[in-house]
Amino acid sequence: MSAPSILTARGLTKTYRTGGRIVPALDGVDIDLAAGETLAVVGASGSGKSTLARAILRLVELDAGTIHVGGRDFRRLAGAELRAERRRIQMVFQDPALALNPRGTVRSVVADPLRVHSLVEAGGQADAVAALLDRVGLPYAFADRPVHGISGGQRQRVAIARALATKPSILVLDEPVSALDVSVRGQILNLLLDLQRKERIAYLFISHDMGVVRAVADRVVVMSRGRIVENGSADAVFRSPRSPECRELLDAVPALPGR
Amino acid sequence: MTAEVLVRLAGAGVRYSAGLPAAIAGVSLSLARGERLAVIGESGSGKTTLALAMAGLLPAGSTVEGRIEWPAFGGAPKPGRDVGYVFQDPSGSLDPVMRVGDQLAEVAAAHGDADPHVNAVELIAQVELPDPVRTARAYPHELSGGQRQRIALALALAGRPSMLIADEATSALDPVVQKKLAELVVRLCRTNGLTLVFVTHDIALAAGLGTRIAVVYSARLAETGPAERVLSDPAHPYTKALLESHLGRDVPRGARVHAIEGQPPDPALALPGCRFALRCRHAVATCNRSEPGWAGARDDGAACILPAGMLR
Repeated sequence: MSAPSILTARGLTKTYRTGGRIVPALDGVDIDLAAGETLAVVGASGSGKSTLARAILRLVELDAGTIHVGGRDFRRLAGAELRAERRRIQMVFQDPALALNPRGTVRSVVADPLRVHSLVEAGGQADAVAALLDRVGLPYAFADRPVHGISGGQRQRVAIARALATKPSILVLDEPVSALDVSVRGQILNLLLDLQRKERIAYLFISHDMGVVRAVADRVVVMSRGRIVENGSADAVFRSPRSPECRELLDAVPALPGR
Repeated sequence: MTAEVLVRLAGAGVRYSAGLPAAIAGVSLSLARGERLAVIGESGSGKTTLALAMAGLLPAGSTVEGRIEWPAFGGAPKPGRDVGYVFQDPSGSLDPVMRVGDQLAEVAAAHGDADPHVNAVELIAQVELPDPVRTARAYPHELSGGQRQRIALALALAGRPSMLIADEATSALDPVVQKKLAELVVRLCRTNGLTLVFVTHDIALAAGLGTRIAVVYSARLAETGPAERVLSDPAHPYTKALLESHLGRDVPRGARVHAIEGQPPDPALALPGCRFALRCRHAVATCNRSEPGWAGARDDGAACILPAGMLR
């Protein structure tokens, strides 16, 4: 990899205890993410990929490991410093209906991070909201719609606008299109591809759908039982998968006859 | 087709209550014994309503326009006995505080089974779960999502129905588990001569499952026909767009992916024309003025004015 890493995670370890059993969710995971690239993290249910996403945002506290974001040790930060650094990494969840305040309006959802991080002057909020909605392809007329009153695809656009509000350099996307209908899935993937091209945002893209991963990823890591079992360029991983887990995921993609 | 017709819809429409728009309207379609029909549509399209209507399981208070007939059952099918239903969320169809073997035995007994506990174990073996005797003693929470869905499938089969309806039965599962379960459903249908209605939003999954395909869009039947014909020579632009939107493992990262712009119309919105016209690349002025008639045969055609072969 030639581009410098903006996210470097080393030795990430996390165990959960359930009913007396110790389950390793992350078992010494290393990740590097360069500016403007998409790293896909794939794996079956329970492989640890969602724990990885949450751990990188410190939504899950790790047992061990280091996470450097823009050179700073993210795990050692606290208080105001942590809040400030959190702007750099934002998350988009699978189901925007669950991730956004169901009683909020589009405006309140998108403006919350602006307010929390004091990113706009008084009076500048409407312009900032309009600019964010514009970046995700929504008209400003949407600002006063209730979040529950718009379609799933529009809601995911709102979730992306909210994530963009703090001008992050990294987006962690946890299955961002798997709850969407096929006919809007392509629109959201195109939005993400366009944003990345224009703004060089790096994506950590969590998914178990290898078809979606093929369409967006530059590099792929394959997880199984909390470990990385394969790591390579998307071309290499799709052309000649080495791990049985990866081959199994590839075989599970339904194929259309004649394609 | 000489096989016995299990269910036949003629201009069928369903309304859940008088004030609501029709959940499906004007559907004509028939299903013969042993066929596997994949019903494809997006959320809110009416695909579940179509499946419920075919199963005779519409909730009380809903009204049916047109005709739905079950010639092979001599009247509406008996739930469980004639038609088994597998829902999307297995935790919703299983009792969390009852051993799965007991739940299966309860259903088998209700259908007059003389030896329900033995048959419960046989059903568990039939859905290819390991160690059936031990699995029968498990509670749902002790099983994985895929295993729970296999139990839900066994429950649907417990009354030995001739028709099985699987409504997004694999969508909540990860792709590896999903593929195995879908293959099991097809295998069970083949070996037991079951007729299958498989409801899904995934046209590629449907491609591997169905002998026939029905595509539903915004409460209308857009297209139906033999799977091979629909997939290779779609007659409705929506079907074609779905096929183009499929992301297989062979399309590497590019600048953009294929997308259908816009979104389905609000179901409450009365439109004089084709409900796909606003998103359709082939639409002409007529498409927005009047609803397209059905072109082709009842079980092999599309609701589109484009001449046959135009989309090839």
